[in-house]
Amino acid sequence: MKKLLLAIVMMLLFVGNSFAGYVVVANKDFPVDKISGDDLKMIFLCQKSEVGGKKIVPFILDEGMECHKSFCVDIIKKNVSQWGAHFRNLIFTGKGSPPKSFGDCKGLLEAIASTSCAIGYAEKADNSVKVITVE
Amino acid sequence: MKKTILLAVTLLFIAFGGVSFAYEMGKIEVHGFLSQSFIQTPEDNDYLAGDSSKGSFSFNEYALNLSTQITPDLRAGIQFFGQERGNYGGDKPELDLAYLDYRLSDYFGFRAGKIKIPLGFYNESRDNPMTRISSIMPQSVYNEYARETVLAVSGAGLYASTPRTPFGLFTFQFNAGAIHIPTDGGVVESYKSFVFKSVNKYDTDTTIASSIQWDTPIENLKLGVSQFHTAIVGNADLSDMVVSMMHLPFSTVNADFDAYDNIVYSAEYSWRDFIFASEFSVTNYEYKLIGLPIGQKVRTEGWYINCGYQVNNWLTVGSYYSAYRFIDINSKRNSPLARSKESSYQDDLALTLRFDPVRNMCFKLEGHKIRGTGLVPNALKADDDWYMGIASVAVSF
Repeated sequence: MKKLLLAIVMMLLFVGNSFAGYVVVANKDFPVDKISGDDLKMIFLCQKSEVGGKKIVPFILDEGMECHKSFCVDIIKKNVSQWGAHFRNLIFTGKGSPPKSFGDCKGLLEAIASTSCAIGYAEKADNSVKVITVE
Repeated sequence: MKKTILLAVTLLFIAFGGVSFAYEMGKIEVHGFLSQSFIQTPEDNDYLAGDSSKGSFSFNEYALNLSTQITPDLRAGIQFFGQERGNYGGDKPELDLAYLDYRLSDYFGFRAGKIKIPLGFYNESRDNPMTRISSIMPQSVYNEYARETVLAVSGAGLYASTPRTPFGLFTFQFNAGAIHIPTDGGVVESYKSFVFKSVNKYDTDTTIASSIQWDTPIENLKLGVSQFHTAIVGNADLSDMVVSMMHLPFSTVNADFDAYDNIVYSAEYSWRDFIFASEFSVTNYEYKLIGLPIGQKVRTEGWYINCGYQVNNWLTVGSYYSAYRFIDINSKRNSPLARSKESSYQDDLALTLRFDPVRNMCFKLEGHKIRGTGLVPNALKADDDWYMGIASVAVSF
């Protein structure tokens, strides 16, 4: 029984935030394996472009996906509409542009795997990317 | 008109056909928005749109934005904007934004070109109805007729931010340059009923605008203060009323706005599907008609409280209460420049329903109960409450 409980705890720790509907993933050359929630939020609000001295490339999912909604609420601390409005503000004030978005997790994972220092979130990871722990 | 229709059809096609947030032509991102409104006001007050007292479709705006990331640190972009307001605008496309943005680090960068003025939290994005719940911004702080004065500077600016600490995060912007006020735009439209019949020319001194924003340690609470300073000399034709009352042998004068200063204090808080915002704006200016014993020292105060709630994926409701005061500091009671009591204030209670049936498109239905006509040019109905209805559709890509 103790072994079973330990196994469940280890599994939950290993999958990180995936029980919340998403897991944060990055290219295998991403400079860190752990990142704070605040830093992650700033990355996806386009307020932070460097981690560990390297330029990073964020990717996001389309607004309609459940995974995207969970990430919005947990990390960005906004709802989907508010996050979308933030990106529109960036565009039409000339202060930036939103990260490239993907309509499915497969496409996003492929883009992360093929882009140096890329980071994103998906329903689950595969072997082509590494999981980033959110502190 | 044909060009407007063609542009509208093109943008609608793109908006409905688009799935992603942007279109890309090689390394150039293409974005845009288009909005069309219908405004109805009482028969005595035309407001915001020409002939609104008869019901008017003369209230629309559109923009086309092109941008590219030249290097990881250098970004460039250009935006064209056009609007129709009945008595001005004419859907004429104008250069709205044109910039080079060099970001030295996450904490510092600078811009050059035609760049938006960070006055209040929403001045930079005021033209895009997709970024807000209401059809029109609270006019006490974001007066539509004064838009051209505070829209953008042609010059340079720098921006900086602090790292996030337990005390939050501070963001700072500073812009300096020249503003362009057209002689056939909203500013002139707003002055027609009071002092001037038309404006022939504007010259402006260097305009300075700055803002500080504090993202507080309380999640999603941000506070800010911003300022704007300029000086303007205009050559204008006086209204027939002023010429007659003052027994003037001429009607064309130079008007010197020695110092025009505006400060806005801002707060915004979002919690789950709620969003709250409140701002307070103070403007001080004094102008003299050169060669005449006519001048006016003015202070305006405007504030609003705004609340919005997203009910579900397709419905958001919002409401605001907005109050505006025009305080004439030195005009005498029977001066031609003195305003009536009813035209010295404007209180506005607004309620909006925003529908988002599909991505990148929204419909809005909005009603206003207004008292006073402080922001209404040529107001005839000045006493009692009056009402305004707005229906609008907007698309964005």
